[in-house]
Amino acid sequence: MSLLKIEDVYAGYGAADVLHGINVTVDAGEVVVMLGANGAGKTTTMRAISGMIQRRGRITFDGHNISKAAPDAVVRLGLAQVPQGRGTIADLTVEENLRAGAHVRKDKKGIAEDIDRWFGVYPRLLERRRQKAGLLSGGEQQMLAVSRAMMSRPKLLLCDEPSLGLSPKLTQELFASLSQISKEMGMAILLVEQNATLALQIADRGYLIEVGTIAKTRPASELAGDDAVRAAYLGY
Amino acid sequence: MALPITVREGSLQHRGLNFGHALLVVATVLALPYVVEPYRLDQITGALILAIAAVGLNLLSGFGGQISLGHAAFFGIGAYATGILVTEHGWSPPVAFLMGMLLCFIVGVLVGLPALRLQGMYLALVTLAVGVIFPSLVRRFESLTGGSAGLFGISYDAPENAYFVGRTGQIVWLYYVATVALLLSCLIVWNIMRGRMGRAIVALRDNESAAIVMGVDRTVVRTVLFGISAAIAGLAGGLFAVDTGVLTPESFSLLFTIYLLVAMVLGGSASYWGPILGGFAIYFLPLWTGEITEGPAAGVVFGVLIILMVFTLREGVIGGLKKLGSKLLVVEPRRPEPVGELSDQQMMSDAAILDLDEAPGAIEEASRDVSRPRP
Amino acid sequence: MDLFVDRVIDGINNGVIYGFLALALVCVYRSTKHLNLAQGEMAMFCAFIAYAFTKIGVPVVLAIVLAVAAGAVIGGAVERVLVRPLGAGADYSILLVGIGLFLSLNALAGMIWGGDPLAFPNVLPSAPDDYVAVFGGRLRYQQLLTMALLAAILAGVLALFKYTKLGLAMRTATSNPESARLLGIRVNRINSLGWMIAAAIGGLLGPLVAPGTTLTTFMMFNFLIYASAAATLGGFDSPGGAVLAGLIIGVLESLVGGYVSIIGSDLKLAVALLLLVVVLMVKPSGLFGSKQVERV
Repeated sequence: MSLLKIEDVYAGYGAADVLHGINVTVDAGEVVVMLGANGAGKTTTMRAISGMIQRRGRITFDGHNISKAAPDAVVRLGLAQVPQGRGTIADLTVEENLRAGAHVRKDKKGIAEDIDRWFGVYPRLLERRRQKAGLLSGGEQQMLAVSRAMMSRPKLLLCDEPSLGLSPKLTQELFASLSQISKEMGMAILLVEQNATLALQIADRGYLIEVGTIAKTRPASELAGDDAVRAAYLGY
Repeated sequence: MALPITVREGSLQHRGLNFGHALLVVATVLALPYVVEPYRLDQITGALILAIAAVGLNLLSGFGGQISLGHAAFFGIGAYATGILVTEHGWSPPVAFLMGMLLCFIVGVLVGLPALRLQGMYLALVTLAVGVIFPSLVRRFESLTGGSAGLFGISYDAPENAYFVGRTGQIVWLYYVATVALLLSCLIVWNIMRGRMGRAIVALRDNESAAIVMGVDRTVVRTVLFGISAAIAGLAGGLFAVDTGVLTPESFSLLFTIYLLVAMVLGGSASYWGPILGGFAIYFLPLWTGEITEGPAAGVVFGVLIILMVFTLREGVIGGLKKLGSKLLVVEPRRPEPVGELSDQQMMSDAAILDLDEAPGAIEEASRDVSRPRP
Repeated sequence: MDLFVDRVIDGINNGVIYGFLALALVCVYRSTKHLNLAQGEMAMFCAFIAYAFTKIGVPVVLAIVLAVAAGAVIGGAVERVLVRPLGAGADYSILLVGIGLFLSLNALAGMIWGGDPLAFPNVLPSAPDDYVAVFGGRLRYQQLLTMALLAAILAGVLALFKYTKLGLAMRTATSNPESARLLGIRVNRINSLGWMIAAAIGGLLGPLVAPGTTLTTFMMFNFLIYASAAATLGGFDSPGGAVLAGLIIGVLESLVGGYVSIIGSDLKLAVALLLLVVVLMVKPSGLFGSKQVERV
């Protein structure tokens, strides 16, 4: 039984649909990457899953039907998202950002422990814990975005183009971090990326999305070796 | 013929349509005095004057994107300047109008100076301050302005001409004066907006930092914009003075500014016909709601009407009309002429990797500006 | 010296009213980043509702409590029906809706209760002898009550924002509604709550202030201007700043109006607003407002 299953989903903004019947599954503990060019529908998929936009079709998560769920219901079921552009809550401090991430939880002790834990994983955040989050650099905001999403102890983490605006070195560190978190906590990750090389290195499987539908789905190693994919997304 | 009809910009049909449109407007303007009752013409003149004020406000707020909650003050300055110059010093009204406009321009620039440092709510409050202080000043300096008792006897007499005879002639005369003034105001706005200044204004409105980096002189553009907008409102004020003949400070209160704002938004901001329609709306709507019901109920109807219009006509009446119009007629823009062929090398590779090391959140700030997330 | 104290007390009393209404304005701003031009009229309407209850025999205190509740309901309804559908960034539209609401409520109150001023009873005894002597001046019991309530509500609001989970959720929703939703925060409900709190505060102010100024449909108009000035002076996102600024404006205008005879009562408001402009030149976000965190 898949953890997340998206069947024949249509979604868009206003009159035009961006997704034309998309099908994706993610199993527990898997790292799945979705590759595609600009405009293909990657972010729209992410937003549809989290309930941020109107969608038609069927989405099930952890046995629950979330096809019509509101965003807060989705989070409560254990599905968190690191949005495109980080979604930093600029006027709150770093620490407050983390606390906000734990909004759906009620266990004060557990929340405090988790905050300490993430400060341990990302010491840079600890240094800046009382600074307004809007003043952090891009890389720091990315770390914050990931930790904040993790504060709700999700079973599945959606990541929308986390490498955006980061140097290759930082991106590598970030992906290594994500991979490690996934293994340690048995958490599944659905990763949307344009930067295919690094993403495929940490993924188990990959989807190619083109113009709102899935063009291909393969194990990650196969995609990395696929000529068409290489030409289109890796640039050589 | 299938709807919508498509017409190419610059083509003969397009130009023909524009000419026909202009002809229709001119014909209507000239025909009105013969077609409507004098009292109605008088009302139309009143509406035209409000339209001029709305045009002035729209230049600053609609095109320029700056809030002004105090435009009543400029209207008032123009009105009182004209009133005082005409009654106390015997100036001829057109010259008094110009003087009022000049005065308003200067005050407008001065008010625009704080605007450089302030944004949003804070700017709104400063302009509010100006708007609220003005009536108080008028009341305070009674000897000059007649205070609460009022300033009387302002008029702009029609020239000796068989055409403008008697009371009706006076009404017709003022009607023409108002129409010409409105035309001039619109021309001023149009001229500004289609030139370099206009582009600078829009650039500053939509993305200030980018505009400054591209060389737009924020100080000059912003303050001059305030000044011109104020001057146009001042012209309307001067006309108001000669049209009503009496001035009291109550006419220029915050409520009047509110009416102007309503005019601008109802009509449709950042358009040419919008404020004109808006001016007519705020003149006639209270009259009509007053005719339908008595006393306070009229206020309720007016208030509710405003709310309804905000919800149904988001882009103002003009926006609504444009939508309707686009079902009938579509003007296809001219195609740009290609200059030459681009070589392969000049085209950017798709797989260019962003290499911004620890960029200070620049990308996400930029992408937050985009109104739609990239799919 | 007596005159000075009298003027100061007078100024403080007015300042308390400005601060009260400014606090309501700040609550709305901190919720959906809007300026609610109808805040004063909503408060006025609640005062009339309290009046209506006293007329059918409800004791004053209960009438006021009911008025506060009515205020909350009105505030929530306005947010749900008039503000939320307009979406984000519809600043001008919201201003217009506020104007429409302002005109409607004003006229509606006139329709229901007539245009003549009405007498609203005091909560605490207000005979000529009922005052507390302060430095030679007189502070009436009712005025003291209003001050105390303002202080209490301010403390409550500050505590809410700073120390509670709900307050954190509200601040998150205001700063970044999208992210807030992705964290499971119900932004719509929180926005409603912000407007409800603001309207409730106004609903408390109306009946408290009505006895001193007589209950008419125009009482709040002037106060709204002062309150807006106070909120701006203090910083639109600072509850404490708004209240403090209200007091400053109240005292300053009273002293300047009293001692500088050129000013007189007409220009008192002008003075307050001039002060505002001067401060904003030096601190564009108000005395205690936070600068917009904006990296380009």
